[in-house]
Amino acid sequence: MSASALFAVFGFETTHDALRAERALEEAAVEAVLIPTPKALGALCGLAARVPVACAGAAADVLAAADVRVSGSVEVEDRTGA
Amino acid sequence: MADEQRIVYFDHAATSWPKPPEVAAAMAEAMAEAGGNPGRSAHRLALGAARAIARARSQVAALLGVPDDRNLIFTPGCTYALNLVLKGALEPGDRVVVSGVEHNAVVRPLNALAASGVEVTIVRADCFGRIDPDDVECAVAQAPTRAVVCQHASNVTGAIQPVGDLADIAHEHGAVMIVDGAQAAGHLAVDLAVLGADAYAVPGHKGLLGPQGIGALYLAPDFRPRELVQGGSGGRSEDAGQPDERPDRYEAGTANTAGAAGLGAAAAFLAAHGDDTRATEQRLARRLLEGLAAIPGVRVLGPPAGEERVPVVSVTSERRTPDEIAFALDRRFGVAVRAGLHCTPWTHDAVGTLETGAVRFGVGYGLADADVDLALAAMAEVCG
Repeated sequence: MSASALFAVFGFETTHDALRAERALEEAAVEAVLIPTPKALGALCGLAARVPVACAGAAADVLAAADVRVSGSVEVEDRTGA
Repeated sequence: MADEQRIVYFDHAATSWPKPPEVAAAMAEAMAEAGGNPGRSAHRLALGAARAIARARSQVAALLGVPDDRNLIFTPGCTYALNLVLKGALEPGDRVVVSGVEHNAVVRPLNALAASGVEVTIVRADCFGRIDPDDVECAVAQAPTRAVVCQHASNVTGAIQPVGDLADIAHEHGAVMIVDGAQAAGHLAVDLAVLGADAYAVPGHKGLLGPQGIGALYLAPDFRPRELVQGGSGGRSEDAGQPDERPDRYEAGTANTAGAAGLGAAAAFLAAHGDDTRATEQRLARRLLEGLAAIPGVRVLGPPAGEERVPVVSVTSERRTPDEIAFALDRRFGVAVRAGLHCTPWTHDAVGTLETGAVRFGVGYGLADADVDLALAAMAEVCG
C-alpha cells in the first residue's frame, strides 16, 4: 500500500454503527478497514471506516442502504503506511 | 445420603444449570482472543471485543424478535434493566398500574418511586396468581396513567400473564407497557415484534441459559426513558452529556464482553434447539405437577393442571415446612429446590402462602424424566 494513498473515512454515531458498517461493506465487497477516528471527524464514535477514495460513493450507498448512522466523512491522505 | 457427586437440579427459576457447552466456550474465547475494551480502540483485541458484543446483540435480538438490535440494551441483569426503565420513565406525579404478583425487582423500585411522588395502583390477582385484563383496564381507566407494569410469567405459580392484551389496554389509554420477562424468556417463544411491549427486561442466566451478570432490555424505538447512569461510551467524548444514540445512551462504562459472548452463544443455542428444550420442559413440568399433586397433603400452587404455565411448580405440605423439605431433598436425595418467598411476597399473598412460603421446583435444560421420578419419590418420602 502506498504511504500517500488517499482514503475516504466515515465516522459513526456509535460503535454499533461502525461494526454494522464493517459488516455491510464486507458483504458488498467494498474494501474497508476500521481505524481510530481522525480528529477531522470530531470525537464521535472511537471507530471510523476507511475505504479507498475511489469507493467512497459506493460505500456511502451501502451504508445508507444498511441504515447505518453516519455522522460525517472526510478524505484523508494516509501517512501511516498501514 | 445423596451421592456427593450427583445433583438433581430443580432450581432453574433462580438460575439455570448446567449451561450448553457453547456458553462457557464463547466466554473463554472472548477473554482469550477478544480481551480489549470494546468500542474504545481500533486495535485487534478491542475490535475483537466490539465484534463479540455486536454479534451477541444480534443473536439475542434475533431470538427475541427485536427487528433493530440497536433497541436491545445490554445490562448487568434483569433487576438493573427494570430499575432503568422504571426510574427512567416515571416522574413524581405520574401514575403507574402494576400487577399484584410482581417480583421485588419491580416492587422495590416502585416503592422507592412512590416515596418520591409516583402514584402506584396495584391490581390484585386471583387465587391462582393470574391477572385479569378487565381489572387492569378498570384501573387504567380511573385516572391518567403513564405506565402499566406486569410480569410475563410468575416465578412461583408459573402463571402466564396476558401481557399482549395488557399492552393493548395500556396503549388505548396513552400509557406504555413495561414487562418483566425474567421467567418467560427462553421458556416461552417470545416475539417482541408482535407482543406490544414498550419495554421488556430479561436476565441472561435463567431460561436464556447464559451466564450471570448480564441481562438485556428491549426499548421500543419511540420510548425514551432517561438513562440510569452516565459515563464513558467510547464516543462523543467532548460532550458532557450522555449521547442520545442507542445502545450507547444506556450502556455507559466498559461492557461485560465475556458475559455478552456467553449470552449470545446461549441465544444461538436456543434459536437452534429452543423448540425441543421448551417441549421437554413442558412435558417434565406436567409430569412433575401431576406427581406432586398425587402426594397426600401436598398442595400445588398456580393455575389448574392443563392450563398453560412456564415450567415452575411450587408446593406446600401439610406435614413439613418448606425449609424442612428443601433441606431434606438436598441432603438426603441431592435434589436442589428453593424454599421461602422467592423474592415475591406479593405473589405469595395472592395465593395464600405469605405466612408459610412454599417449595419451588424450577424445571429446565438438562433435566430428564428420571430426574422428575427421583424428585417425586423423594417428595413422597419427605412429605409422606
